[in-house]
Amino acid sequence: MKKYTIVLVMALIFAIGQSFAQVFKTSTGEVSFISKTDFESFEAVNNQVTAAYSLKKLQFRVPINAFIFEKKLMQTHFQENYMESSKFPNASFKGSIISPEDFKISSKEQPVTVKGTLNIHGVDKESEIVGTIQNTPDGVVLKANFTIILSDYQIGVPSNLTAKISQNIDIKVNALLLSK
Amino acid sequence: MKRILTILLGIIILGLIIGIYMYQNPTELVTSGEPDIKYNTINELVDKGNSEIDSVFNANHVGKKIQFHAMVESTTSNESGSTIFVNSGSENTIITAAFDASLSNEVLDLKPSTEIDLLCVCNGIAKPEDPDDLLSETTISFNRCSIINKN
Repeated sequence: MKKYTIVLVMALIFAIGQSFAQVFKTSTGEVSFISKTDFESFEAVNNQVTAAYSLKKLQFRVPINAFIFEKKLMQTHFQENYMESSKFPNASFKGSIISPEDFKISSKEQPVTVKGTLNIHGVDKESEIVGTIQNTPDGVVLKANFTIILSDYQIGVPSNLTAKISQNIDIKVNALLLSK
Repeated sequence: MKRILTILLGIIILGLIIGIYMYQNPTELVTSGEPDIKYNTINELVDKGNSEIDSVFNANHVGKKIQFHAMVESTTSNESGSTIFVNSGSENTIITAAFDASLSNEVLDLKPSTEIDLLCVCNGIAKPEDPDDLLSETTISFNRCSIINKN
């Protein structure tokens, strides 16, 4: 009987801990990407990324239409032809920190590996992303640099533009999340 | 024959000039002109977002110029621009309007509760997909906004 009571109390403490877990969020995170080929390089920046972090779990939502390009024609082609933003308005990522196994957030910038599902252009892909996480006086800072392959997400580039648009797109994430 | 060739060459050169001009044309960072859709109150927009399936709302709003009346909840800025958090009247709905960095001073001057009319390009709506989503709020976001009226 005593054994059951202890287990029950522990389960209750765990459940309460989970329900009061601190959640950090932002609606103004930044994601940028660069395409580099021998003929042309271009970059687009998006500072309307929503993100949340709590207890090793991470979630990102990236409105495709909020990427700003330098050239209007590129922006239009990106949104309407390649990303089909009215059909797939958001890219998203949902995952958990898998490395280090005993991860605990601290004021030190720590390298982490996050495993989860990256959804771009309506296509889900299991991904492992390496980045850093740091608890600062301003909030939790998440940073990551990784590369995606356009064909993995069924993003088609017309054959006459393959020399100008790289298949490998470098993505940079930088977000400051505040306690909610 | 020579005349035809000259005209053809002229058309090709004109086409090239138009093509280069269009390619080099910079992105409009501040929305102007007539709106595609106008909402007189923020409730109209929130109700529309909540009542419609997100794919229907997005098909009709993403990339469109939307004019709406709203109340400022708070503002923030960084190097790449500034953002107004609009009072949505609902705890579960976040509405953000992003501005180019050139308008940051004007945006940061706005005090909470100021009533404004904005003209923006809509990024769409995003609703929570699972009950255990950390992003548990519905988000409607806009970019390249301009303030067309403030009280």
